[in-house]
Amino acid sequence: MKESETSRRQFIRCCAVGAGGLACGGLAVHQMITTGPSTDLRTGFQDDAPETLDQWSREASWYVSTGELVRCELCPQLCILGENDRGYCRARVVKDQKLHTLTYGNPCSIHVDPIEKKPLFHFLPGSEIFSVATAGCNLRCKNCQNWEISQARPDDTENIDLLPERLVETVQARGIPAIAYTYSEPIIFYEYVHDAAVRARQAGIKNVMVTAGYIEERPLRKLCQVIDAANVDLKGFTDRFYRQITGAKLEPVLRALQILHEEGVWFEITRLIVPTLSDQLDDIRAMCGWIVDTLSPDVPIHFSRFHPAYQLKTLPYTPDAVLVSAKDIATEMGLKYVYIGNLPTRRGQHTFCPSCNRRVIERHGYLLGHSLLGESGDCTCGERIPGVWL
Amino acid sequence: MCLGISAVVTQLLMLREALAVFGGNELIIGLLLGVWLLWTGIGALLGQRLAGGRAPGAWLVCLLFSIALMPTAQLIVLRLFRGALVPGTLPSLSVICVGAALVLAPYCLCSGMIFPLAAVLLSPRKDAGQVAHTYVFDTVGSILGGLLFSFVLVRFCTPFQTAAFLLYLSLAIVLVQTWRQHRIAAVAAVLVIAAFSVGTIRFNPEARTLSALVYGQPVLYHRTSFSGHIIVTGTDEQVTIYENGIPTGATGDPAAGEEIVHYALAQHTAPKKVLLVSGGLTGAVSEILKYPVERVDYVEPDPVMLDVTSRVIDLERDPRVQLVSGDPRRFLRHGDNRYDAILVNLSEPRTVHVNRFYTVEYFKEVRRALRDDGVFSFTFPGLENYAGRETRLLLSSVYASLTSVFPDVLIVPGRRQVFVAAGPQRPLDIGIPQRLRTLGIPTVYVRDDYFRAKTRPDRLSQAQEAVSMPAPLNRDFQPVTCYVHLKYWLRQSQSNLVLPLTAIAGIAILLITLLYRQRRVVTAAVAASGFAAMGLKMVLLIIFQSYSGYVYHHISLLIAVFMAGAAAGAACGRWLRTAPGPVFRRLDIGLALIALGLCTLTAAAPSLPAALVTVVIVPLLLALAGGVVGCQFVLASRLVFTGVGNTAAQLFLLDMLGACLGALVISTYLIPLGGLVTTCIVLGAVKGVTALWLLRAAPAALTEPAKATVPEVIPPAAMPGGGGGRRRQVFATFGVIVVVFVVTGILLGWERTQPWAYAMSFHPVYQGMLLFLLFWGVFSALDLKRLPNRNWASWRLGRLTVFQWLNYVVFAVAVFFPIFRCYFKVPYLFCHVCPRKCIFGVIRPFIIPGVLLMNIRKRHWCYHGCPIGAVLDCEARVSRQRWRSLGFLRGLFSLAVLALIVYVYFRVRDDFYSGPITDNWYEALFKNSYSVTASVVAISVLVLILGFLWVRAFCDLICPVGTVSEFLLRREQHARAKPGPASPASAPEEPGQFNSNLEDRPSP
Repeated sequence: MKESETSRRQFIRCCAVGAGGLACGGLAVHQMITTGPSTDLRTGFQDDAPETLDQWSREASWYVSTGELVRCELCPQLCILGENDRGYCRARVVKDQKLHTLTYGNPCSIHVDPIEKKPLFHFLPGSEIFSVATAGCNLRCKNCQNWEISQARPDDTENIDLLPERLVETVQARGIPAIAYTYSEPIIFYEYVHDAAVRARQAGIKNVMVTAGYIEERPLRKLCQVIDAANVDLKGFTDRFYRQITGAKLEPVLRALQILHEEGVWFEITRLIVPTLSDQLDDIRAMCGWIVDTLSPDVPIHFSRFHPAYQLKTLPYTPDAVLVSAKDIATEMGLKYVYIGNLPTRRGQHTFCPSCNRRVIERHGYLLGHSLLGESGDCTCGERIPGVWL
Repeated sequence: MCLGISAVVTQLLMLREALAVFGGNELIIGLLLGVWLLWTGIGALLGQRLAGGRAPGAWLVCLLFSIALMPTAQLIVLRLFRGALVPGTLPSLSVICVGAALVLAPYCLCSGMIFPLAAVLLSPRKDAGQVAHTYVFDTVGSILGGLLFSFVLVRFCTPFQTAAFLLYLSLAIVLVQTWRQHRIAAVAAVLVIAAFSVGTIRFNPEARTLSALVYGQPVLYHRTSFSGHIIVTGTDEQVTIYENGIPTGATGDPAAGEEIVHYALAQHTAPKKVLLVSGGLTGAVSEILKYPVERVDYVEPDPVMLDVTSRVIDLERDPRVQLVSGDPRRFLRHGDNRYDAILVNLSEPRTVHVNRFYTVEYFKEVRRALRDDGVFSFTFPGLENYAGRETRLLLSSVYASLTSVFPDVLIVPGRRQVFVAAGPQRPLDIGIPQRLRTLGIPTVYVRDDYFRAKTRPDRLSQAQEAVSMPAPLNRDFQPVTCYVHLKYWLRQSQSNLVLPLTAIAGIAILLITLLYRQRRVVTAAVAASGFAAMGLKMVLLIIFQSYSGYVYHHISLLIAVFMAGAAAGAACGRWLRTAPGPVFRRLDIGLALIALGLCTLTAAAPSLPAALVTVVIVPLLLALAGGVVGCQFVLASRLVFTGVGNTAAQLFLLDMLGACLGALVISTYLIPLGGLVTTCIVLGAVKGVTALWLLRAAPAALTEPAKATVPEVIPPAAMPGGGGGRRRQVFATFGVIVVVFVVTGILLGWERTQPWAYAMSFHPVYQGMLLFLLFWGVFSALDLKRLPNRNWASWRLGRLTVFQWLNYVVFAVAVFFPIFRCYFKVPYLFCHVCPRKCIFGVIRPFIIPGVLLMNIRKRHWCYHGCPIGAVLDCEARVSRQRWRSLGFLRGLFSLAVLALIVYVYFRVRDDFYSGPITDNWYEALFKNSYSVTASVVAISVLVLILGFLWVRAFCDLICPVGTVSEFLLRREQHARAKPGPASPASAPEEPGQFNSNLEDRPSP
């Protein structure tokens, strides 16, 4: 073979390089012309939306559309989504440049629980509550007890057809006084909660939201108009804990608590104490101080015992002593109604009158015992215990 | 032999520690074992090069020093690894894969390297018999090491004491080997021993690192048992026991003890004899004693756990309580007691070993041990509000197996689901609190207070629905629940099987490539034997356990029997005087027949007497299988002999790769999904294929090479030569290059100019220029000789061509942008998830394929386009660069970096979807703003300084494009060198030379 002739290997290489170069360049030019760099801002699950929207899809509220991108403004994750993208919460997708919720009227879990299980101790004590949840969550708590719902897509769970009107009819038919939007995060099925709550209120049924409070201000204020009570999980009191364990930030949760307080919604706070991660007593002291100063000493707080769950399985249970210390600190800081949860030893379950120190509500687990409160929550000494008692 | 002892003791020690750190299910155990075998095999391959190198003796001494110190270092690293995770979490599958690969690599590589080195050095003979010699001694060492560990070290020594024993053993070998000739090494060994002893006493690494396993909680007590670490931690009034890093019980949780006991015992009016399996720490024994029982047998599988539990809560206070340590199934089978209630509280069926307590056969044994009106219950992870598909499948599989034996089963739902089962004479009632009230038994948790909420009709029907999925029965010889649990675990850890399957595929491809290159039926048979032997061992051990229960020392002895068989087989092969080919073929057929025969035995096993199976058949088959494998290895070394080191390394690698594949595939997929019978058929089929191949092979393939002794020649890598040049011009060019680099850095780093630079970089004109240059680069790389661009490259300004200058200036902004202002602080890696892409992030999808295409032609991009390459080129010219090559270590390092980059690429994508800011390491990168960080600048400076000492340090070590291109180039050179006889024109071009000889590098 002559030196100047092209060998077969060279020829194949030239062809490969040439074809590859052309393809690459063509693709680049095509992308430059068609889209431009702005779409690279997308977050969330890209191209993960279902092929078609089903009967439980509705156009979502709280989003803005800018060109080809959609920005969800429901929660502080503030997802920027392109066409066919799915939000961080797994429950919202973009179709036809509009944001859609996939969880309108298709809960995957419905149960009837005692209201004390939420826990709500100053809201219709002793009554039952109809609990609903849909798949998805805007947090990523490593100790989630309901991870099979919260870390799933609505398309992957087995759902029940229960549109708001049917939900209210069902609850009414069973004679249950309240609906709880719970288990997963109700914020991510906001539209369902809102519409069901409006109808429930019309039917004289109360609405309760059990939430982590990770929501933007405007949607929360609107929801406060139709919600009667809330239990907010204040999972820790450091931003580090929130980022490390929940995938969220602390500040929006504190803001949500302030808004609930401003809007006059009855709410109670649950604080889970996780050994080694959030059991520092100084931290608890700071949290109680903040509640007393910013919200009110009347806000009930539940210190809840940690059980190993989901991905946080190698930590021990919270020792009783830590829970009792937390309760003592909260009382010392001026909180009037401090409870201990998830502990079957009856310690820290009863409500005491802050004025006469008499046991005004006795509780045995989830069952209500003897109560000294009047219909409007008045103790025999005349002190009014805050809450919703009727 | 001592090395064999050291290797096997370290293997057992490290795998136990790794299980404590990573958590253990069948997949993880398989992965750890697979990683261990893979690295050891690769080590053998590297050792082959060392054996043929200049000073193998010095290498051996160095390696002995390394393996002396590494067990201790690895123990510390493994435990600190757990401390580096978010407290309370177990690592995800991808972290486990990478963590295990990184932590286990150093020791395994070194120990693998020693095998061929020892084969070459430790005997004057240079024939195939030497390989056999080494194999036999290594195997005998393994037997001794295994027995020593199982019967002595695990019982009497802490892990660090065992590591110290390994250090003394390895250094004793060094002393013996070097005392006469190399006094310096001997003195160093003595010094290391002294320093280590003083250091261990002074710093007490055991206590210091132990707390990392339990996240800094106060450790009250620690012991090692055959099942792993038992650590007791105490926080205030609560004591928790950790077994292998997972809490298995705690005091202060009355609900747990009550749920284990009362759901079952409340069904019985007057239980007299009760058997409790594990769970004593929850207070279950005292709950049982609230009933009028006459005897409580408390069985704990692990004697250390029993000892610890009885220390924490005084179990022996009541004379009615009998404490038994041993396998519960063995106890049930051999005990002649019949019980009113059997209460079990064991962990989930993570492994085939634990799965034995959820099989149909086990439930039948329980039924036999129960009185007619007896009650049986066990706890299982349940569901609170919703059960996903994996959970339902898991529950359904267990439920189906249970109901196949007990017709009446009651499920008490909850986070901890309790299954209560009984025969037809004992109807079950859900009204448990009422029954307890009637019996007058006081409780704290099992009362209406809580029970009513958890047993509402909707929750009961949900629990019933959750177990009603169609699911196969879980059996001893087909542990399906184990696989279902693996899927459940994957779902829970938000992982999938992509990574393990990719690893399996990668190892399979590696194995096939190696076999294809050798095109030798004998080596293929050795690899297949490694695979089959691993499978046969697992199958036989499962059969043994199903008959005799799990007895740690019995299992150790059985493994020793297998190894003894291998040693004996190897010795027979060594002394065989006839032609090895036919014997090798017959042994292959024999192994296939053993696998198929085992299939028949598995099918017939239930009808055979237990003593016959456990005392005769299983040990005999293990010894036979070991003997065949050992003998085959030795015969293969004679058949494919190419020098002692080469042969030993090659066969060792193939054997290890086969076993590695077996460890990954058989325990994780084949046994759970196919069952033992199918597994045996597959193993028989694999061996059958090689046997058939051997039968059809040409006689030449099965004859020994003509010359028994082959010299081992591995030419040392040619050292590249340096360049020269007009120094002033060189320095001027370098100066301009550095100035451009610094100016670009300032423009991008300074807050006032940065927005302008950012805006400019997105300007269509600039983007157009980038694309044009990319096009032109690809065009130039085509190397079309008749095109005018041919001469343009010779237009030089200073020491760079015009195009290099142009590329440098234009690409400077795009390529240097991430160095100075990466959102993630690690340039180039995270562009695919970056929410604020810079210009590099935008063009990355085009630039990377583009430059890889260019590099097909002699790394065109690296030498003509890359701005970083231009900087390094200039540095090369103004310095002497003494470090030119580190041989395979360089390749290894660059491949490791490449693997890390690939891992990070996929890991970050995965994380971003499932919870990015919850991981510490991610958060360290994800600081939510552009900023110039000291670390990035420091690394850039380091790379620049390194560039003065080492030709293209960045390209060779870190840059993924450089690594891939280097690999392609080597492949091409290899292919080019292969066809004809070596001649100056077609001699392979040493990449180092190509890199460094900048003046003479090929120009287009």
